[in-house]
Amino acid sequence: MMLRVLLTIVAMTVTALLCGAGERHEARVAQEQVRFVAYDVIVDPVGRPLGAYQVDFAAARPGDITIVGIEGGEHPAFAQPPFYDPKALMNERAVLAAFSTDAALPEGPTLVARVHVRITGDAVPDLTVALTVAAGPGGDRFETATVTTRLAAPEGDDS
Amino acid sequence: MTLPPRQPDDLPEQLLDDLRALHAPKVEVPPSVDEHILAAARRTLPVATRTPWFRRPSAWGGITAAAAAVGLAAVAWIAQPGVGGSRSTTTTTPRPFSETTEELALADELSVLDRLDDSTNETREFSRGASIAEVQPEADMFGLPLASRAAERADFADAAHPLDYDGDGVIDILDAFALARTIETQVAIEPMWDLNGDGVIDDDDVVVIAQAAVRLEPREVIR
Repeated sequence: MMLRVLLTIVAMTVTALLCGAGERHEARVAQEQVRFVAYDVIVDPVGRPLGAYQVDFAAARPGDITIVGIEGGEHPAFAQPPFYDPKALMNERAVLAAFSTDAALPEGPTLVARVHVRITGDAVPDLTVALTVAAGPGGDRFETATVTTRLAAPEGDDS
Repeated sequence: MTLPPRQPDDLPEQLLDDLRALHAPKVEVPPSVDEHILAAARRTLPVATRTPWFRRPSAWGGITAAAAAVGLAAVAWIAQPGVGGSRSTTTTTPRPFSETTEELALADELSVLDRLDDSTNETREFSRGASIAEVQPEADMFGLPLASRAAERADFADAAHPLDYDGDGVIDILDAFALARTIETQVAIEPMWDLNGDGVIDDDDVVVIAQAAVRLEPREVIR
C-alpha cells in the first residue's frame, strides 16, 4: 500500500514538473520573438541652420512597434533628448520636438533623435515619420526641410 | 582398534519406538473423510472474503496523501514565474510618470495645462483643435517635404490661447522656441507668460509650452 501511495505522489510530481518545463519553454520561445531596435530620426534643413524641429513618429500599422525609449541626437545642439509626451512610451506614436539657441547649428542632414522600439515577431515594421515644423535660428519656418528615419547601427558598430 | 557392532537391544527405548513407527504401514485417509472434515469446517468457520480496496481505512490514507501531493504540485506550478496570477514578464515596464524630479516637474506642467483646459470654453476648443495632424502612411513616408504636412495641420479656433506665443494659431515647438529666444534677449515679457505661476518667466515656462506641443491626444494612447 505504501508503495502505491509513493508511486502516486511521484507520478503527480513528475507531471507537475513536466508542465512547468513546458511553460518555461513557451516563455523562452516567446521571448526570442521579441527584439529591440533603434531608429535614427534625421532632419535635413537643406543647407540652412536648423534651430527647431517637430516630428511625428509612428507605426503605420497598429501594434507593429512599442516605443520604449527616446534619446537625443548626435549634433551638440540637439544632443539632449527631445521633448515628448511620456505617454508615448509603451505606445506606438510619439511627437518629438526640440530647439536650440546655440550659435553652432547643423545645416545638413542631422541625426536629431533616436527612438528605441520593441518589435514582436519577425515582421519588419512599417514606420511613418513626418516633419510637422522646422525652423531656423530666428524662428523662420523651413518649407522644404525633410525628415527621414533609418535603422540605427548596433552599439559599437561605427560603420 | 575397531568397535564391535552394536545390537538393537542396546538402543534407547525411545529411539526404537520411533524406528518402529517409521517403518510401520501407513494409514490412508479416505477422501470421504476429508470431505466430511472440510464440510464441517465450512459450517463452523466464517467465510473469509477479500475487502475492496476502497473500504479499507489504509486506502483513504493513500488517497489523502495523493491529493495533498497534487495540491502541493499545483501550488508550486502556479507560484513559479510566468504562470497564473503571479505572472512576471521580462518586459521592462517604464516607471510611472511621476517618479523622478524631472518627471514630477513635467507632471506639474501638464497639470497647468489641464487647469488651462478647464478654465475657459475657448481653451477647451483649443484642446480639441491643437492636435498634431494625423499621420497618413501613404503620404508621409520617408523624406516627404514639409509643405505636404503644413496643410494638414489642424489649427485651433482661438488664436489668443495662452500657449500660442507666436500667435500663429498653432501650438508647436516654435512657440516654445520663440519664448526661449525672448528670454535670452532679457527684454521685458508680459506676466501672462509666467505659465507655471512661480513668479518668474524662465525655461520652466518654455517647457510648459513645449510639452503642450508634443502632447498626445488621449484617444491616441493605447493604454
